[in-house]
Amino acid sequence: MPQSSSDILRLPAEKLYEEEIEALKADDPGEKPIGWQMTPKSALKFIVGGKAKGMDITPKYIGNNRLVEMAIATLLTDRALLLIGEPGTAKSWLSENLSAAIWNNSSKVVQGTAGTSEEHIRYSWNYALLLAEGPSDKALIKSPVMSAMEQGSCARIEEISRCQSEVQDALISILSEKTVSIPELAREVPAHRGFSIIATANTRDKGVNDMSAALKRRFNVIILPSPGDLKTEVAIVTKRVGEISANYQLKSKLPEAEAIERVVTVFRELRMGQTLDAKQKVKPPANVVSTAEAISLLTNAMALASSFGDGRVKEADIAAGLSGAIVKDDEKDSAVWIEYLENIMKKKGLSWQGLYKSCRDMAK
Amino acid sequence: MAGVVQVMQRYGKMNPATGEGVRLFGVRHLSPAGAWHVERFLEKENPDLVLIEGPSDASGLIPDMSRSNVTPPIALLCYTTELPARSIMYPLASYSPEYRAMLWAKKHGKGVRFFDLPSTVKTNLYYLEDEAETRNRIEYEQEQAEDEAKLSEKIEKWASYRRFESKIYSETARIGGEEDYESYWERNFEHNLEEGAYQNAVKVHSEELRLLTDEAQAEGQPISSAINEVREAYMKREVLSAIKEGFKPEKIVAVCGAHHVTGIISCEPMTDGEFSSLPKAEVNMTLMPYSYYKLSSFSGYGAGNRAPEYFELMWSLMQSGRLSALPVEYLSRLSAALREKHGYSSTATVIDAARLAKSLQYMHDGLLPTLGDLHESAVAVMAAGRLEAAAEAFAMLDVGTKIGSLPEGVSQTPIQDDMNRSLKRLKLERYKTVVAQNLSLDLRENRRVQSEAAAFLDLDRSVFLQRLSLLGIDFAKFLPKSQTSATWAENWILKWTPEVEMQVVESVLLGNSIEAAAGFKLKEMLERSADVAEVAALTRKACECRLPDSTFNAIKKLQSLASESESFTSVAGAARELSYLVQYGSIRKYDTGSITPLMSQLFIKAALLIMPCASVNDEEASKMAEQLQQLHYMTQEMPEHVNDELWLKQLKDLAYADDKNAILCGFALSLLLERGQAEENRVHIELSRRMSPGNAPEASAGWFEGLSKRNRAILLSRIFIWEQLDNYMQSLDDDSFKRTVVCLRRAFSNFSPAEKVGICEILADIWQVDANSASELLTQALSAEEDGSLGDLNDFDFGDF
Repeated sequence: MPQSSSDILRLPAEKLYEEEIEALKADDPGEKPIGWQMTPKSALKFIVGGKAKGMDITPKYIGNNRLVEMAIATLLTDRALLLIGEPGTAKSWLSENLSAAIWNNSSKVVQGTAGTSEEHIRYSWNYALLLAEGPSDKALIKSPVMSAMEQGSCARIEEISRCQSEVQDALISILSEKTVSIPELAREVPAHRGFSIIATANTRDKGVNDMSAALKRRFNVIILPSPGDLKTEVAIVTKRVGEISANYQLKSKLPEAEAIERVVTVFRELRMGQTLDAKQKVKPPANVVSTAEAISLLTNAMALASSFGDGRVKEADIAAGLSGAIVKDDEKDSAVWIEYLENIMKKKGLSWQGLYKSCRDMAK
Repeated sequence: MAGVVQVMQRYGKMNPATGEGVRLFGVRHLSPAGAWHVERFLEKENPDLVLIEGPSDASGLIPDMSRSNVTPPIALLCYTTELPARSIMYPLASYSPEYRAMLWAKKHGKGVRFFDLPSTVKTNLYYLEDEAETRNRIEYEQEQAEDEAKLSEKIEKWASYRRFESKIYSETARIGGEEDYESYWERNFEHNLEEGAYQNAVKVHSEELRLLTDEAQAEGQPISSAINEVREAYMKREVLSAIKEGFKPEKIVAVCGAHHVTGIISCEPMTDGEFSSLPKAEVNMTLMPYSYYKLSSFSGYGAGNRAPEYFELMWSLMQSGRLSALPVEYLSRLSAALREKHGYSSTATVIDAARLAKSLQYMHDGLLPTLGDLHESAVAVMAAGRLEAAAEAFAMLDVGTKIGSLPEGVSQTPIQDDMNRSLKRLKLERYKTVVAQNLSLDLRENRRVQSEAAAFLDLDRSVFLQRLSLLGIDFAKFLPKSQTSATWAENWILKWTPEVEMQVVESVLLGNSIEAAAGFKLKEMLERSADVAEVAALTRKACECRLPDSTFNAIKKLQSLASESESFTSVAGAARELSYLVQYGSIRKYDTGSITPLMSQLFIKAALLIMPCASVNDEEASKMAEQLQQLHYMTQEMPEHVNDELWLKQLKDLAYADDKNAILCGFALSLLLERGQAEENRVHIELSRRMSPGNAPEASAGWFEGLSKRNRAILLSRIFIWEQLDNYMQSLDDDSFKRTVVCLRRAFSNFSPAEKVGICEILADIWQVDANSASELLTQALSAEEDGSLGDLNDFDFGDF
């Protein structure tokens, strides 16, 4: 049964922004690099926003445009791109949108986990066929990386630092030789022009493996920073919350601008270890409080409001999420959170009192 | 482009009466492409006269600047003879278009001169401009602090022009798709070597900028705007007078800031009357070596020259026709620098970084990657994304450490002559090398030599070196004494670097000789300081630098401040500073005639301030105790100059006072004990009073801390003190006991092991136990349990204590 795209929980970027991509392609006078569906300038416009054929291109990555420029320029060369950053700095989001813009295909993904094996990077076999017929092209199961090589497209490797080092090492030869050899079939699969790899890696999480210098040398490394100021972060959160609620068809109204700003303020102050006006020190919690968490917190609050409330996001809905996001399992986090409530949030003036009271009730 | 058309219509033709045909070449100062194109332009036009933006009265120095053995960067410095000197500086690098124009004229034997306002006028005008800017900024900050909503009209206009101006540059960059204006400039103007490209692009660019800013500047910065007009009218006048002299207009090339081109074309020339009405000052001028480091931090004229070393590389590649190799050259040098620092950096990464930079350039439709492109590519490829790993190498390659040089005798300011004469007179010439050398001075009179100059040679040297260090001339570095007793010895490290030469030249702004400059500097420092101790330190400095006038002024200021100051620590600090002068005066030949009475006066003042200032918290009390100790030293070192009677009376008052800080009271008593001025029975009474349960435990312990700060031998020799302490501790309840222990722990923390053993023996005696075992027990390592209970004490909550 053919599925209509509206039934799919989460559309890939190239489908979600199909119209924008088409508009950009139609309004693209320059010469396209081999394998690319649009020029580098249009790809940049797709990510940072602008206008094409009278259509507004929504900004996908808010923050430093120069970083996006660097990422695209890297993909123009034959080097692979490595995006590094703390959790929630839009690494995967940027990687998905880049591959959607340039190759119209963001689905060749290898998810890096502790259980990822070399086969996920290279190729594996359909063992029934292999036993029955011996090694043959039919029995070969290509990895996303290998099929990207054949098609001159882009493979994405998520959370590369979670893979074990021997798996990471399998990439080294692919990146330098640009071929995968299949000794069983006595042949090689060479990469076609346009092939590239975008990997993402996390710096702060526990349970990650260090990347070897040899592998790092084969990547151009771009470090994505946490949003630079309150305004940028509020803009990011507002945009993503809006998109997610449309995706998941949450029936609640978007939280008010002030509510979003308050959540982002709390997150920023805890992350930076001081109040926004830099007048007071704040004890930061042990875990990372990322922009991504602010987004999921607010969408949760919307889900709460639409399922159990009157469809308007209330302070109690946000408070429930806030303490959950900040106090993970650590006893210390809870002390940090209460200290923040009493010393900082309580003194933030009248407009904060509702949220403060809800949070305090929740913390008890 | 509408703006351009308008400009063309307005300024397109030069009126014949006002010099049509003169070739104006607008440049950005310190621009490699500007330099390159100016040379080509001069080749093409082959003028008989080259006019260059620069003070017209400095034209006489052009032959010196264009000598073949001059190595840029150099600078032309003009300064008023009257102090405080007002100055203007024209730095020149090898890639300055102005410098290239001079060299061209010299090579081809053509006339060359400066044609901007003479420095006699300009120094004053620039001073006015600076002053107005500073005043506006201060007023702006004040008004903003008072009431944000209401700025006065003048300040509002000024502030909004400042915002407007910076916005224009950032918007220009943004529209051009660049991070900042510097990248915009480099991408659009520095890379194109096609004939005429620079001249036209720069002309259009500055015309548009002027069109946007002229009116707004006249409103917001009327003085700067007027100065601009005056300068342009003068330049026009100089152009016209050159034509009158007989140069054909089309055989004159004028090289000036691009900003002025349209102004010079359109304005009326300055008349003789106008010129003579301008205020003039007497001015000296000199050439001096300059450094890339200074060039990169010099604002205004050198704007946009954040990377002189990089620009020089660009310039040298242009000359050899290899400009396209710039990215690879830069990145290879970077790789070498990284290799030196981190051990490895592969050639492959240079290739990859260069390719990344190329694709960035491609995305901007540029001809070459900019410095920003190179930086970011290098970070992504060669430094694994971490800017901090490459930052130092960037600084080396962008700014560099290059310092220019001038042939002997070209840079001649009176202060350099004075410096050289002094070095010769003091036999220090052999230290004028880049190798650091030690110099040990014996300040005493050398009785084995004939002349007075020789007898006091080392003392004179010390004075001279002290003056240099006061002026911030890094020729000599003072080494702190290792042995306090040798008051007649001083150790210095001497090293001559090109920076020293620059520092000497710059000191000419303070005076024409080292002595005069040091005196002026000290005068300024004196005017700025308002603290007694600070002025006393300056007085000492003035004596060390043998500056009688400054010493006199410092003492006068000290006298007036001394009567006003109510801070014990400042007054006591000042008294101590002066006491050094009195003590060492005979060796260093100071005239202590007026210092000694002032010191005595300060001592009395300090003594009188003890009681009013002694109600302080513990932290302040420790500082005050330190000063009390210094005063105590003074009573021991020079009893003939201090009022000991008053001192002892004040100490007694403090020692027996109840309402003062307990640490200070205890400390005062310890000083009295040391002087033998405390009667035994009084000490007994004081001890039991302080150590009775009626006091706050912290006060008792603090008092004991004060008492034990000084001579411990005295404490250890008085067994009754320890008996009393023991009784007191036994009488305390549990909570007070804990609080006292915490404070006493601090008091005993800086006792030596031997002293601790001594205390143990005394206590063992009191408790009637074996001394050895007690001492053993008390000095052995703590058990885990004891450690734990001590740890608990660390977290002890003092409540509102």
